[in-house]
Amino acid sequence: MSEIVYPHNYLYGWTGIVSVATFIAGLLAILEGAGIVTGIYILPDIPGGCILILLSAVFGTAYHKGRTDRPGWISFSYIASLFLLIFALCSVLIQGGNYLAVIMEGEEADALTIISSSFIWAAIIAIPLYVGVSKLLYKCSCSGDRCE
Amino acid sequence: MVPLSLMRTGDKVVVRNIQGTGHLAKTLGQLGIIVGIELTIIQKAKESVIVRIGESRYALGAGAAGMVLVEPQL
Amino acid sequence: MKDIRILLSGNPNVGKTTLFNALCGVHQHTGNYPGVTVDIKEGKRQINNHNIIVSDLPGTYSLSAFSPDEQVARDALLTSNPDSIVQIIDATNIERNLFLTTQLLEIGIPMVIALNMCDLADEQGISIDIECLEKCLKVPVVRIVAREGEGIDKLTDAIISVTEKKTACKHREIEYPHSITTHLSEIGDYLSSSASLLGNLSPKYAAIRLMEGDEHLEKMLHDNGLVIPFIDKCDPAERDGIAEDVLLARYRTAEEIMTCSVKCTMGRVMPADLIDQVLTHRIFGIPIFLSCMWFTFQLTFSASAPFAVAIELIFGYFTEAINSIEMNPFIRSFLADGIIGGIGSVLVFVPSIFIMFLLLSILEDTGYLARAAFVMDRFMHSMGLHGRSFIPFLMGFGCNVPAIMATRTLQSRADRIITIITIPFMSCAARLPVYVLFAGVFFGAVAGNVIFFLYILGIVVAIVTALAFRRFVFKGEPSPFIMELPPYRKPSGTAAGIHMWYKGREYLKRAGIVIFGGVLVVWALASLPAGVEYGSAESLAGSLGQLLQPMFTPLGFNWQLVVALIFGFIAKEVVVGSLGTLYGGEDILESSLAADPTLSPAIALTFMVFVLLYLPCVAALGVIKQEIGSLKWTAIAVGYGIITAYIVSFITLHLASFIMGA
Repeated sequence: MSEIVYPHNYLYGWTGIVSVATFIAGLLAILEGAGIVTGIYILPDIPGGCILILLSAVFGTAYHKGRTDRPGWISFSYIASLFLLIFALCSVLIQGGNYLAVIMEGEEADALTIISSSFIWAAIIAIPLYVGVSKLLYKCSCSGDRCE
Repeated sequence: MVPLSLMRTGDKVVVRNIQGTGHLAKTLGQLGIIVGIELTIIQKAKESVIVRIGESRYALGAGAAGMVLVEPQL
Repeated sequence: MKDIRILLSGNPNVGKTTLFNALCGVHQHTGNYPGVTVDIKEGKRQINNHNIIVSDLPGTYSLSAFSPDEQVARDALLTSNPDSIVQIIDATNIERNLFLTTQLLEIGIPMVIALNMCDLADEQGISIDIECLEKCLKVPVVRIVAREGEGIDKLTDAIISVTEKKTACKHREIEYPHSITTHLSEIGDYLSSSASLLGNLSPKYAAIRLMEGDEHLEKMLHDNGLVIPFIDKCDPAERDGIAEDVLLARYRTAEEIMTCSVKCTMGRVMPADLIDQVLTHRIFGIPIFLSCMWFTFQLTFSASAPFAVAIELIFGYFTEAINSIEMNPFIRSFLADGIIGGIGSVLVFVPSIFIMFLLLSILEDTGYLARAAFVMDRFMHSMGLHGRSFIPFLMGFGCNVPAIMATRTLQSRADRIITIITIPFMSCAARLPVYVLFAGVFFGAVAGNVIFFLYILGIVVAIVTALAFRRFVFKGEPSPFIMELPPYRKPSGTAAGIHMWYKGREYLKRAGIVIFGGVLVVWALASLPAGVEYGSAESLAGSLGQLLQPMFTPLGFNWQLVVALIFGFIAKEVVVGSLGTLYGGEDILESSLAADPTLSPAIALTFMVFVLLYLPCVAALGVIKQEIGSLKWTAIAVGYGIITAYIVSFITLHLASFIMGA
């Protein structure tokens, strides 16, 4: 396939961008957690950072596959972006729960921590990719079409 | 005829024989893995495999996959 | 009002429980403490003047029973003589489901087929000719979408109709090859004189069961001195050949029925296949799974934290209210420390248990847990465990009791026993307060790491135990891992919610009563003999502790810790509460502990290790006995736990003293 059709072209490039962005988000979270970097408004979270780096590896694999194995690119980027979005939502719920608990015990807490996890930033960048790829994925399941 | 555990992802095969008797063959039989049935290999890890028969998908661990002898279809 | 008893049968993952909920709504109860959908739930629905009593059987692929829940289904279908059977078939995968249908048709009980997930079949371009199906099978087939409650009324009408007309004799018959039919009549005639032994099975049907290889039936007949013609003369290879012939006959019938009534589009690339390739990837599979688990547990703790705080606050108000009213100090203590403390101890856990059940239900409903089991199987296999054991292990981190019950899906007894013995080493939610307390007091800033270390220690001990038992006691391999991967489905909020509600409710009933009773016992032992200072060394509790303390001197525990351990047997949740009592009050517990000269970080760590390993609580022990069924193994589980706890704690104490002292 020498011709790459429009939205695929943009989506494919975007996969590379998401991969890099996720990696940076993960790195920042780890550095914050280890105390090496401070000041930027990101939640310190070493395990979360590792998970983000894992997801960036999956995005990277998707990008690598995209040249030869179209369905592979679709599936890897779909899963990675889906999980990224789900994990970002979970982060909000987790931080929200912690915040509520602290407030209820009568202590002070910063409400902005609820949305400060680096998952959120990475997820925002990944949303267009998710929307595009899931449309492609569902096209695969229509009768007669193949995943091209 | 080759054991299922030696096939690769994406292969389409036909089951020719199930070795061993007793529980393993019965259990596989209940799921529709019988001689003559066609399988598609969805994923292959070192010795274990995920196959698709028609609409159903089954995961077989190493022991089970080694007992199912198949013939690749071209 | 007429009673109609029906059994809901079908393959796993076809939506039986969803239909059950749609039929019975809130009018249901469980036979036992629930695991992961492995018990018989019963419920009822009233239509006109009929009272339909529904039993939801565990999912099975056929009537051959290899694991405990398959056995439960088989026994119910063959021996309980219901008025009718409803088989739920997944419309997106009819052929495989028809195998069970061929078996159910032969039982001789009126039957209705509920064709579920018709909406998904339509989406996938599968067209089903219902009339043709009904003609081929000679039973009513009703289209339903259980998730939405569609078709339920037509289904109940069909059930009532077949029950009243007793249509079983008209069911489609399976055509067996000549080699089989000749012997069927021979066996059938022989058995007709022993009809009483067969119970509800007709001689003809019993003959078919024997040909298929129904070991229970065979054993029962042999025990009664019967010699079965033809069957008893065959050697095992011939027997297997016959069973295979029956199997093939069934599949042929299923295929025949399929070709006439179902047309589907071929040659599609399945998105589910692609997704499977990612989720079960050799490199990414396990990390993805571990990430999901990380978030599941984080979510469980954090989402339940506000509720736990709310409960503590509410109970704090109650305690203050009681303290401000004039009353007999003994009664005041009973109300404040006993009753309120007791209920509080139970309720504090409810939010996290409910949320854990909810999250695991959602994961299971999407179909992801099956892929995770496959991914973890290789790892578990190398530990001597079956891949299916990993779901019980996961649940064990929340509460050991439902985890032990979830082992019913394991087919081999050896696998089951090894899994059950190792589950208690998964540190359950009830032990966490002990860790939080001691790690917080004695380890300050590194408390989190200490707690993490404890969880890892539990897992390591579990692995070692599994390997040891597999190598030395149950020589041999775990049984082969064969598992269906259900199609990916959107989890339904209501279904997960209902699951969560019923499992949580059962936990409250069973464990709740035990814990509450335990707290009262603690209170009583701490308050008597009358007049003694609450929780002092002179109380019964104190005397008991001082009596047993010498046994624990090598571990460095003082008598208060020993008493807490004893109460911990009743329920781990009680450990912190009893320590609070013995040290003069929960509010000053932390400072009391820090100030106690008999305690040190090393001893605190040793104590936590002991609590991690020593014994499952009474409720868990009861379930162990129930699931393994033998007193000998239960005793082994207990003994092994205590001995392991003692040895590992001893090592911990000396290692820790060495490291920290230096």
